[in-house]
Amino acid sequence: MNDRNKIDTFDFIRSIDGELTEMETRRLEEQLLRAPEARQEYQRLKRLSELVRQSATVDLHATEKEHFHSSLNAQLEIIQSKRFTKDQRLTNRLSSFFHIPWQWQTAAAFILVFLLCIPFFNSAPPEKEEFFWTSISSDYKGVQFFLESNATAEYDLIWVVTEEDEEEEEDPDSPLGFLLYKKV
Amino acid sequence: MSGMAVQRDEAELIQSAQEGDCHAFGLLAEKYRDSLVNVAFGFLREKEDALDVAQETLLKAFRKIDGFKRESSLYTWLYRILINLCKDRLRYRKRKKEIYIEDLGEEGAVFEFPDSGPSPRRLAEKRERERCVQDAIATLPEKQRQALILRESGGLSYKEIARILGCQEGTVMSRLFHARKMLALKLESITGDLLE
Repeated sequence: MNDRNKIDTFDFIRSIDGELTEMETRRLEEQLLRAPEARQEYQRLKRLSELVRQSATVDLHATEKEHFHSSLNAQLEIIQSKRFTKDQRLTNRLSSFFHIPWQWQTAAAFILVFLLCIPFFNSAPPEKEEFFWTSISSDYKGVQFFLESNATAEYDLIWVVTEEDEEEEEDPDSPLGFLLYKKV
Repeated sequence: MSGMAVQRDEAELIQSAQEGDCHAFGLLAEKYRDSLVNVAFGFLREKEDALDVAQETLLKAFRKIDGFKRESSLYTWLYRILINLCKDRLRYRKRKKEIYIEDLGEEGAVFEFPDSGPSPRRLAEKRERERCVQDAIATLPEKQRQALILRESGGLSYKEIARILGCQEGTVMSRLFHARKMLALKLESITGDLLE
């Protein structure tokens, strides 16, 4: 038997399963005609396939089919209605709002607006971000000049250290200056 | 052309089912019912269980139909669900059987249900033959058994089986080849004339 006539065992399986092309089927049939042993093996596998098919399949009677579908459809409808209920629950709640008297609707709207505005009414003043001490001059006029030019724009003045304050300081070298908060 | 029409119909039915039309899904269920029941029977070997699992598969699919993406085909998706449910059922049976045998003690192991009544000889022979084949299939390695049942019970092509099992077509062919080879040996050892 030359290579051309050599039968691939996988071809048996593919033929039984209907996976061979028309040309491949014809070639296999020709090969089987020339090889009785291979033909016997092929028939054996075919018989096995039929046996498996018979053993592993079930015939459903018309009543069984009917029962299967009636039971299935009933359950499908339950699932569908549950799904519908879930989707519609929110819509229904919203639509029911529009069925109540307009006075109540207005009151509810006012309450809602009021509740939404609470955070703005209660808004605390922004926290001071920075606190620092700067010493710039022993000249009080110099301090005033600095305040006029910068402090009002960017800083809040807390305390100006004067010469009187300076006398109370334990540290004699403590310079004159002012305390500022940086505006947030 | 007709294939394309059927395909388009299926796509339309899926679309309708995703929009919540259970009747559209019912039509799809009708199309796949026999094949699903057969595959389930191949795994479970009991008609009632097969019908039950096939129905469970379809209900589960309908519940999750919103999440079904058209990247894979419906049958691939359905058979995957079915196989998983069959596995669950077999696991449950195994647990139940263990408990049952434990409860019955020594005598439980040899307990047999009485015959439901005398049946014609040929029918009995056919049942016996089918039981032999089913027993032999049950002893196959899981992957080979899956491929064989999807092929023989479900009538699916290599391509479809490959998609469901997530492997190459060549692998399916190889699994089927080895499954049949092993099955033939087992059946010959049990009863020599079965394949004659």
